[in-house]
Parts: sequence; C-alpha cells; structure tokens
Amino acid sequence: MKEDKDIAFKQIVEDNSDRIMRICRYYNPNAEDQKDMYQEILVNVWKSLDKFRGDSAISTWIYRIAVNTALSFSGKTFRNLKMRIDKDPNQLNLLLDDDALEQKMMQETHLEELQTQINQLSVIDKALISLVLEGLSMREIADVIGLTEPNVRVKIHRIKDQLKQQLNP
Amino acid sequence: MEPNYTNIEQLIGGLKHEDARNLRISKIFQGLMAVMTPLYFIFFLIILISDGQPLKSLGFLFFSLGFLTFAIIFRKLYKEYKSIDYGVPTIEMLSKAAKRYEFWQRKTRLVLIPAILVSIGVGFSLQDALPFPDIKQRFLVIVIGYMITLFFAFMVGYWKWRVRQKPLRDKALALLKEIEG
Repeated sequence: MKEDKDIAFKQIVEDNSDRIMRICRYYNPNAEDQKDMYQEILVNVWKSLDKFRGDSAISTWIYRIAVNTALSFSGKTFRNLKMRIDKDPNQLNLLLDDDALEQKMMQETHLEELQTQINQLSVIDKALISLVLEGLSMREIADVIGLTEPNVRVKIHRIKDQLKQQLNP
Repeated sequence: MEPNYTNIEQLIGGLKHEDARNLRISKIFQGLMAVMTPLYFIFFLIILISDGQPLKSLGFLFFSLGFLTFAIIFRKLYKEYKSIDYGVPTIEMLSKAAKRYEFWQRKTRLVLIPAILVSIGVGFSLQDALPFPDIKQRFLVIVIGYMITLFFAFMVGYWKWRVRQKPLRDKALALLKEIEG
C-alpha cells in the first residue's frame, strides 16, 4: 500500500512538474520563493493523495492543490503575492483578447505596466488570472475554485475589462 | 522539463518519516490513555473495597472517565488533522479552514468534559489534603482551585488562538467573501 503511494506520487510529480512550476512562477518572481512553494505544493499533494478518488481530472486536482497552497502559502503574506507574466504571445492572447493591445504589451515597458496592473488585482483575481494563463476552460476554472461556470465567466470578463481599461485608456 | 527544484526521493523519505512520527505520537498517546483508563478504574475498585473510602475512590472513577473521554476526543482530533485535504475546490478548503480555526467550536466544548471530570476527580481524591472539617468545604476549595488553574490554561489557549489561528481564520473568511462577492 505504501509502495503504491510512492509510485503514484512519483508519477504525479513527473507528469505535472511543469504545470506546478508554472503556477509557482506566476506567483513568485523570486527563484527561492518559487522553490519553497514548489516544495510546499508537493507536500500537500502527498498529504491529499489518499483522499483523491478520481472524481475530477488529475490536472484539475493538481491546480486545486496549487491554488489552495498559493492562497495559504505559509512563508508569504498573501496580500503581497506578486504575479509574473512572461513576454509570451500565447499568454497575452489568453489574457487580453485584443490584437492591438497584445502587440503593445510585447514591448518591454508596456509589459511592465501590465505586470503592475495585474499585481494590483485582488489575490483571488490573481488566482483566476493564473488559471486563465494556463489555458483552462471556464468549466475547469469553475471546478478548481468551486464557483459556478457563469460566475467564473463574469468574474474573468470583469478582470479583463478592468485590465484593458487601465492599459488602453 | 525535469523537476530540478527538489530531490524527490529525499522528499518522499522526509514525508514518510513525518507521517510515521505523527502516527507514533498518536499511538503512544492513545496507548497511554488505554492503560490509564483501566488502571484508575482498578484503583477505584481497590480503594472502594479495601479502604472503605467511597469518596476518595469516586475520585479515581472520575479520573478514569476523564482519561477515557480525552482518548476519544484525541482520536477525533487526530482524524480531523489527517483529513485536511488541499485537493478540494478553493471555496470548500477556505470554508473548512474558517470552521477549523473557530475558537468556540464543538471540539473546544468537548475538551471541557474531561477537564471537568478530572476536576471532580481531584476534588474527591484530595479530600485528606486539606485541614477543613467539612467535606463539602474541602471539595469546593479543591474544585475551585482546580477551576482557577483551568481558567488560566483556557486564557493561555485563547491568547495562542488569537495570535496563531485567528489571523488564519480572518484571512480565510476575507478570501471567501472576495470569491463569493
């Protein structure tokens, strides 16, 4: 039984390490903090593994643990969670849905502006944005957070509008 | 990308070690209660039969009941600790955390049961330790003394909750409000 847990844990970490690392990077610009959070997520995966019944997809389960760990990350003051956005056209597309604005954000100074605006969002909005950047559907985000799909849709629409207004006054 | 943040074998080793340590502590404590409960019950019977001191023997019966209820509550708390699950939706995790970090909750009230049982046990078993002639007076002095000690322990517990757990509860409630708002 214990051996089974070891094997399952190793397999989950192997299959999802990229995913977990990306989440850690969204929340922490600092490499040392990313490492601490990565470790904490793995600890919580281990603690929760016995309770995983396969009711949701493993990726949804991993996102839940990652977001829940980020929200209760013991080493950090949660209000100060800083998000980091890469100069990645795909990510910007997911976030802004606006070609002209995406082109503008590809420039370094504007990217910094985007970063600043995102970091002024509430911690929950940051969590939602991190899941949008991961390319999750509204249904999947709703499953991770525990809200209804229409509610998630409204919230994300509001965040995107808010960002667009601030970046393109 | 390989997980280069951590040595997975070392991490598993550490986690298993911690699981084993928690299980060992829980077993030792439950084992201790499993010994103390019948032991004090035997004391109750011996004193009742041989010494003919029913009040003193009653004290040991209350001790025995106190240990038994404490063992049951500890088992419940350990199960609750083991059931913390990060794989549930965020709203559910936050609601559970807010509930877990409440101060005046069911488990706080339950802990009072063994404390009161032991207090009555102390009251009965220390009858000979005080010089007052009246039995009721001796009993009251002992129980009140014990209750004052208990009150201070309660205040220390409250202070610890305010410093450590109340901020976590407030944070969970604020996040819940934000998500649902």
